[in-house]
Order: sequence, then C-alpha cells, then structure tokens
Amino acid sequence: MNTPWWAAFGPAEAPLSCGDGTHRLRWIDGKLQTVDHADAEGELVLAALGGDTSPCLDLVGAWGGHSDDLTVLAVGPRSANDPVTIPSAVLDEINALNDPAGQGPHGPGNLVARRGMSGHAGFGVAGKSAMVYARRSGGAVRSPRPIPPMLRQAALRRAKLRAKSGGWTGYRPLHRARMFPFGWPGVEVDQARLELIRLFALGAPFQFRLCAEVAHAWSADGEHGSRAQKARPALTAALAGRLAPAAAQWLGVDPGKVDATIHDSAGWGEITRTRADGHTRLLANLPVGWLAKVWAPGFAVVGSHFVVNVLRADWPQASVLALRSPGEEPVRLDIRQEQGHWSVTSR
Amino acid sequence: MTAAREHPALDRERAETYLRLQAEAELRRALAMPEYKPPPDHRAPWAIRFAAQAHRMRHRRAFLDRLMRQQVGRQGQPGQQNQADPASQLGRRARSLLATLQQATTSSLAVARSAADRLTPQLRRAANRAEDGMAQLRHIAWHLRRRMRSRLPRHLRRRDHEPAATETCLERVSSLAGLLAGVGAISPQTELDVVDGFQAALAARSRINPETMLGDFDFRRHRRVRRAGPHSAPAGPPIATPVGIAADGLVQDVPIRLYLGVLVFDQSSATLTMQARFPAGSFERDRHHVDPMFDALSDVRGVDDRGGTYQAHFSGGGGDGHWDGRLHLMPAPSAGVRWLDMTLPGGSVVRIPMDTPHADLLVQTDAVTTTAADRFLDALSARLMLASATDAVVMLADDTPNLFGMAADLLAAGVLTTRSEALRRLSGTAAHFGVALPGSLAGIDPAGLPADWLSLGARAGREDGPNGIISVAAVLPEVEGAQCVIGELVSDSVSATMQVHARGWPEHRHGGGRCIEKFEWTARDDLGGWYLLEDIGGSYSDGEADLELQFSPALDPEARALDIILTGATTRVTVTVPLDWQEVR
Repeated sequence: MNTPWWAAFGPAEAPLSCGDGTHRLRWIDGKLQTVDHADAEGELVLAALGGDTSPCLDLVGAWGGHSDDLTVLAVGPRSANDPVTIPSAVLDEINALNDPAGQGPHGPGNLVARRGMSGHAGFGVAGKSAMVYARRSGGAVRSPRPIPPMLRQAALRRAKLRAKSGGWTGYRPLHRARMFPFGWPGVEVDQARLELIRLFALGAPFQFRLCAEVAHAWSADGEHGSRAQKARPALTAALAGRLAPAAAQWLGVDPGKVDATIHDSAGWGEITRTRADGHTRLLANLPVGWLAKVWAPGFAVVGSHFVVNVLRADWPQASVLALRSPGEEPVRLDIRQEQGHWSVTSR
Repeated sequence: MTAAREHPALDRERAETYLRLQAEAELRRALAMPEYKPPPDHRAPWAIRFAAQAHRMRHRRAFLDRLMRQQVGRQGQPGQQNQADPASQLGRRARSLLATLQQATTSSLAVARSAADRLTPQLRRAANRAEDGMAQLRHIAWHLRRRMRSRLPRHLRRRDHEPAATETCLERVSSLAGLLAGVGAISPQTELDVVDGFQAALAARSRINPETMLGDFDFRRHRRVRRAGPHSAPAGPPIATPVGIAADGLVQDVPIRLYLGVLVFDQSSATLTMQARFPAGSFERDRHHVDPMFDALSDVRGVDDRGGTYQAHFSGGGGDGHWDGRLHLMPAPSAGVRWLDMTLPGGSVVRIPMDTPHADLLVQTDAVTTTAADRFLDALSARLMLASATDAVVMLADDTPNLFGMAADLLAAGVLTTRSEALRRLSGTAAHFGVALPGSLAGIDPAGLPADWLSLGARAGREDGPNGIISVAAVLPEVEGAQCVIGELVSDSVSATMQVHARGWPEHRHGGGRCIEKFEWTARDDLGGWYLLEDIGGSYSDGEADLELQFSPALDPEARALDIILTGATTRVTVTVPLDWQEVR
C-alpha cells in the first residue's frame, strides 16, 4: 500500500480569533479541522439556510478551496529559510473588509456541507470537490436560530446531493468571482486572494502543509494527476524553485545552476551533475509528488543525503531513499524528526 | 489570432516554463535584497503634534472667552452709554471717519478697476512668462539633480521614498511576460497569473509593499490587465465619406483656415476629421484657461437637410499654428440625410455632403507567412536605421529593456530559433552599427540588411516632404477582427501623419516599455521608398480606436502614389492611395 502523502507530517495547530474568543484550528492526517466547534455540522446547515458562519469554518472552507490552487505554490515558501509572513496590518485590512457590520464586503464564503464526513471531531475537509458554498444574503448577518430536525436533515441532504451532482459544487463561493472596490476607485481585490492570505497567516507549518496538499493534487496519485500536463510549466517552476535551495544545501551548488524537469514515469527519477566552463550544473528529474512527500515535511536533505522518495512514513519516523551524491544509486535511510529537525537514525 | 495558432510549431509550454523559471530566478534575486521600507512619515513626532494642538486649543479657548466677556459686558450695561460718554463720542467719530473712508474707497476702487481692466492682459502675459520661466528652471534643476545623483555611488543614490530595488525584479518579470504574450507565445491569462503570483510572492516576503497582496495598486499594471469586454457585433463595416472641404473661420479675431477631411460613420457614431491652421503666435498661451481654439471648435453646430440639429464635440489637440482632431457629431445623422450645414467658428457655414462616393482605391489582400515574434523583432531592428548611431547602440544593448535582451529571451523561450531570419537581421543590424552580439546571440550569422532598411537610413532626416492634405476615406477589409478606416493623410516638409479609425482594435500592449502591436503599419511609394508608421497618439475605448500614425521618414515629394500596408498575424492588406495633395493654407 502506498504511503499517504501526509504520513510524514505531524499535527499542527494554530489559534484563531472566532466569535468572542480564541479558537484552534488543527491539521492532522491531511485534514484541517475546527477543534472548538462541537456542532460544526449544525453550523454548516445553518449557514446553508442563510445563517452566519464563523471564521474557523470560513478558513476550513478556504483550505479546501485552495487545496489544488497552483497560486499556493507560486506564492508559498521555497524552503524553511524563506518565511512567508503576513503583516498584521494586512490582516487587519482583510478583517475590516470582511467585517459584516462595516461597509466592507462579505466574508470569504459560507461553508455548507462536505461530502464524506470523517469520524474526526469537529469538521474536516478532504478536497475542494467536497465543498459547497452559499452566498450570504445581501450582506446582512442573520443570527443562528434553531432548525427543526426535519429541515436540518433536508438541508444537509440537499447540500450533499449538490456536492455529489457537481452542478453546484464549485470550489469557489458564488460571490468569490464578484469583485469589490478596495482602496482606490477601480482597484479590485478578489476573495480568493484574501482567503489565501488568511491561510498563509496561519503560519509556516500550515503553509508547508497547504503546499504539500496542492502538490499532491497535481501529482500522479492526485486528483488532477491525469491533467497535470496542462499545469506542467507551473509545476516545473514550483519544483525548480524548491529544489534549488535544497541542492544548494546538499552540494553547495549555485541555485541558479539547478535545472529541474518533471518526472512522470515509473521510479523516483534521476539527478545528475555536469561541469561546464568551470561551473557545476545539477540536472534533476523528479516527480511532482516529491514536493508533497519529501520537500514539504522538511527532509529534502538529511545527513548530507538528498532524499528522493519515501518508502514508509509514520510521523515522526520515516524510511526514505536518498542519494549521497548525484549519479549514484539511492540508499535506504531511516530518519526521525525530533524538535523540528529530521536526522538519520539508521542507514 | 495568435502566433501560436498561426504557427503550431510554437511551443507555448516551453515559453511559459521559461517565464516561470525566470520568475523563480528573480525571486531568488529579490530575496537577496533588503526588505521593503515604507516611506518615512514626515510628520512631527506625536508628542510635538499633541503639544502644538493643545497650544492651538488654548489660544482658541482664550479668544472665545474674551469674546464672550466682551459680549456679556455690552449686554449688561446698555443704559450706561450716553452722549457725554467719551467712549461713545469716540465711537461716533470713528463711524464718521469710516463712512468717509468707504466713500473714498468706492471711488478709488472704480478707478483702480478700470485701470486694472486695461492692465489685466499684460499682467496675465507677464505672469505666464514668469511661470514658464519658473517651470523651465524647475525642469533644468530636476535634470541637474538627476545627473548629479547618477554620479554618486549607488548606496548614496538610494533615497527612502524611491521604489524598492525589488521593484526592478517585478518589472523584469512583467516585461518578459508582456513580451511573450505580445508575440503570442503565452496567453494573456498566463501573463496575468504569472505576474500576479510573482507580485504576491514578493509582497508576502516584504520585498515590496506587503499591502500589494490585497490588490494591484499600480495603475499601469492595472491598466494592462484590464480586458476589453465583449462588444456587440455592429451591422456592416464602417462607412467613410470623403469631404475635403477647406473653409475660413474666425476665433478671437484671428483668421483660421479649416480643413474638413473625412466623415466616418461607425456603430451609431459620426466623426468628421479636421485640421485647423492659423498664424503662429496668434493666441496667448494661458495654462490656467481653456484654449480659445478648443472653446471655438467645441462650439461647432450643424443642421441637416431635414432640419435636424447637431452639436459637434471636438477631440484632439494642437499647438502654435495648428490644431488637429475630430468633430464628433451628436447625435449621429440618420440614414438618408443628404447634407449637413455646419456653422464653423466665426459664423461661416459649409455644406458637408453625406452621399459623396468614395474614390475607387485599389485594395489587395495577401497572406502573411512570418511569425509575430519575427515581425516584432524586425520592426524594432528596422526602426534602428532611422536612429543615430549613438541611439542605436543604446537601444540595442544599453537600454532597459534592450533589443538584445528581448531577442535572447525570445530565443531562450523557444519562440525564435538561431535560424530565425529576424534574429539574423538583428545580427546584421548590430554589425551595421559595429556592436557585438552578446551571450546566446553571439553565434548567430548576420544576414544582409534589406534594401528597404538601408534606404530608411539614407532618407532619415530629410525635410523636403510635400505640404498638403488628402482625404483618403478608405475602408479596409476586416483583418483579424479589426476594421480600419483611413481618414486623411497630412504631410509637411518634415513628417506626414495619417488618421485612422479602427473598430475591434486591440488595446496597446507593452513588453517592458516597448509597444508590441498586434498589427503593423508600413507604406511604400511608387518610387520604391519604404516608410515605417508609428502610432503617436489617439484614443482607445471599448474596442474602437482613433489612431494618429506618423510616417518616418518624410514622404517623397516626387511620389505620386502610396501603398499603405496593414499587416496582421495572418493577413496583409494594401491600399493604394493617389497622392493628389490639397493645399491647406
């Protein structure tokens, strides 16, 4: 059985201001969950009926919406030394824009339901196709109100049906496409951008996990693996941009002298080194899945080895295939994460 | 149609990959640069501002208290004021003196006003001259400061309010994306995605203003990414009616010679091209007031053979001695109107026939076999032949962006190959100016320059062009969605211009400051002289454009016919215009 792409990731948690208090968002086993919403499902049904939603649920919905968004790879971190930080002023601006009491536009969309409920407490998201959004009516905030059980079941059933039929299963909220003025007259911001900023604002652990989820979606095993050819330029750049700092760490090669191509056949790929005009060039042919399974968990380079594939993973341990130098056959390494760093436990 | 569709061999994936990899390289470069610093806040520190405000408020309160005390004192002692009171006597004297003064002032004001009326024009002229002088001084000072700063070491040159260094990285990515999209190697959506993604990546790393994550604050880019919306398909091609009437007018007692060229009907609009000529220096330039010529031209009215009335709105501009532009008739005359009597500035009335048949011009259509990239590179290379040797070297290698850089990008992106004729001609042009090809272009064999290009260099700077106007009124066949009407051709000794109305015209696209046109205009006279045409002005709105194209070099006075050539991605249209010049003056 293949190791799932998220198996080498540990859980991650981030606080989030929600309602009158601070709630927690938890990422575990490839899913983002709300910890402090005991009846997330009920809230979703309320939202389906035009009620208000919460920042926690909004973000969970946004995560699902961006789980295959290639912009995540274009903007997201390239290495652990490449922090993507969202200044508080920008977040304040977004909150002001999304403040339903103010003049700003509506929130990033109300999450209604998802397909394939998991057994986790709280609410989980498996992918964009699981999301159904509803437009907040006219920007007015309606207070949650009790729903008769029959109506509740019907709403949930309707939402699930729409999710399955694909007719109204757009991963974008209906009003996401609607642009609103911001700042200068004529200058526009789309909600997708605001969602992405709020997701990145959750912190580096979430940034890497979101990058991994997107990369997995476009890898051979992923949802869009069959049409990854269309996204090949973006995926090549994503791979090259992340491979270059890893190669610099591994061999000290100039990041500008690293060429990456997408490997889309059997095996882990190939890495070779050439010398021309006194410069070393590294040519790497790796699958997109390498980004999800190796780079994102943070063990692209461990103990002077360059990891090319994961054989087995169960965080905080993993068995990997790694190269000591380009052109050699990869060897198996057992690695373990301790205090945020991966190290070799046995060769 | 894009070049990619036209030439299936063009590898769009390779071009996009190249662009995205360049963006990655630029991001690495940007990460080595310092973080964005917001412009310094020039306001005083908070404590000082607070103290100053408190001081102002104290003053204001004290003043109000004083006023209140005075008011209360007056109201509380009304009966105490009597005739014998010295203060009251003083008040009466003061009022009497004030009345005398008011009388004197009134008469003096009348005298002064009458004197000022005579002096006003002279004073205004003097003020304008002084203001012009100041503007020139400011201009010179700005250039001096710029030159002096450019000689300083780079770290001393930097000022906090200057754009972040990483803006150059964004500019490079934006330029490359614009270039590749301009030649059809990537789609406009890809261009938008890559540039926006790169901008967001820079902002998320605080290499540019982080607030740009929320939206594009740069109007230039905002303008660039704006897409022309779908336009309703008009019924039939535009209609052009040659008018070719010269008439006299009068503006502020200055005699004006007006030339009404071509009437163009398109999508419920009617536009009459016009030229106005008058003695230079006739009008006092006053930057604070609307030019009297504009006022006069905006007041043109008309009445048709059915009694319908029209107001003409002028668009265009001019300078000392000439104004050129268009009169937009509101409303557009309906079908069946035979003539229009237009009242020109000064009151003269001219009859504009609406049913004049246009000249039977020869129009020829050919297929285009070159790629958009080849045409783009050729157009820039050919234009070099009109430049001085110094300017040509700068445009080839030193400018930002320069011709070599763009050619290298097109080569690396797979849009051109080393066997490309355009690249070989660029190599030949570089050899012509004695410039060595750099890097990846070094191995490209120079091709001999076309005779047309060489003739451009030989004729550059000639100043013996014919003087006159021709109402062409040629409606060209549709070329890749664009329907053009050639209005009038105007020539003088140093240059010639041509007015074109175009429906379905694409918005201007820039690749790093270089204009990349989907269509190219050239011309060739019956003596073999070849001309480049450049868009030097005009307007664009909702897919309709009014273009003013300038010929380089000046037209040959001996030429008797001119082939005007519009080249698109797949089709080339040539219209032959007899050069029967009509005098304006």
